[in-house]
Amino acid sequence: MVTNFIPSFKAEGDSFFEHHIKDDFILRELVPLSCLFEKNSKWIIQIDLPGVERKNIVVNITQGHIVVKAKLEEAYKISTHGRVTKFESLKKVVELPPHADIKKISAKFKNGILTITIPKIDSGKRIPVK
Amino acid sequence: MLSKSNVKSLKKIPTQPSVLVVGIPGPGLIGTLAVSYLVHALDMEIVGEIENLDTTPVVFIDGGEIFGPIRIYKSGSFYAVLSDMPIDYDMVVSFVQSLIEFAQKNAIDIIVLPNGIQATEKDPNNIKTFGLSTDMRLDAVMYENDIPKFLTGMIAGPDATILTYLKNSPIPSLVLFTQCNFFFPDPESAMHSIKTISSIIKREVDLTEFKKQMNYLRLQGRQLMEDTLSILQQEKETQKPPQIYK
Repeated sequence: MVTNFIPSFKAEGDSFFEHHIKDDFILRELVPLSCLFEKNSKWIIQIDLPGVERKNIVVNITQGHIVVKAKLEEAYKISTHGRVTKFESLKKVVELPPHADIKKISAKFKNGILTITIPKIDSGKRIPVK
Repeated sequence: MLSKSNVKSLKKIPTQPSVLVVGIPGPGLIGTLAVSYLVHALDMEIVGEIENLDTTPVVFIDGGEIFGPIRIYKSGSFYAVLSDMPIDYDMVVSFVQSLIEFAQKNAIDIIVLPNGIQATEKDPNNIKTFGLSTDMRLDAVMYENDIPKFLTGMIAGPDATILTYLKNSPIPSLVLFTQCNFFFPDPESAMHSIKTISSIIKREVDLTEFKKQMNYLRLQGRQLMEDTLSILQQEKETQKPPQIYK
């Protein structure tokens, strides 16, 4: 059900997210769910990382992208046509949103959700009202 | 043209009501997670399915038998409808009409729809479930089960169609909104929803297995959550006011 409490969001399928869930078998790594919000002067990316410990999460910024890799505590198995595929890690590549201040990016992990906060470069100018 | 009149029943809801719980994918996959676990934990038997010949994009084969994505289960006087796919605009009317027809034929006293509501800062130790009923007779059920009323908000998209049909049906319905993470499968909140349903149907549900599988359920539910969000996003776009009012 949708209520008016819903914030604006960009989900999978939007261009910021380079890997999609359907890519699990191609990448040999699980692609976690994620969403991107714009909140005042910040971008906020949330990535769902269940079954992961904080110490096993690596976040890197490379060539305009944020790359998140996390090792699962317990392998996740998918069985298709009698063949079992084991996945031991999750990986997400997210394109940096526009005007990102990469020096001030921060990340926190709580209840299995990684929240990456990306402040925007303040390039605005106040216009006096006469 | 004369408009159709609706019959409203004033019959008292029995103390041991016959309940139909409906689990369809929505925010946090609350309905799907809660109802699929109830079906498993209460060892419910499959008794039918809701089929739409034009809009069924997938079927499941189990033991050589073909099953559709929306199935009906039963255990005593407790029934469950479980959908493995989100209900979109194309199928919502036929879905809810079939649901009401089934409920009437099987003398259902209450229809319960567990669902999720966005909680910006969810406190895992204090998750709340709010109730929205289509009939004042359900106020007593909410009071007995400590379910606060959902007082203000807006519901849009296929869910609004479901609610409108239920509101105009003679069967009292109760929508349970549990605070959850809107964008990711949220078994923690679904567990709270299971406890509320268990209290309404007065049946003990052992949650041990559910607790053990929480991380697995979050990973397993990724594709369904993504499909559900794409429908919810369409809903959000249709809610935008016309340009002139911006």
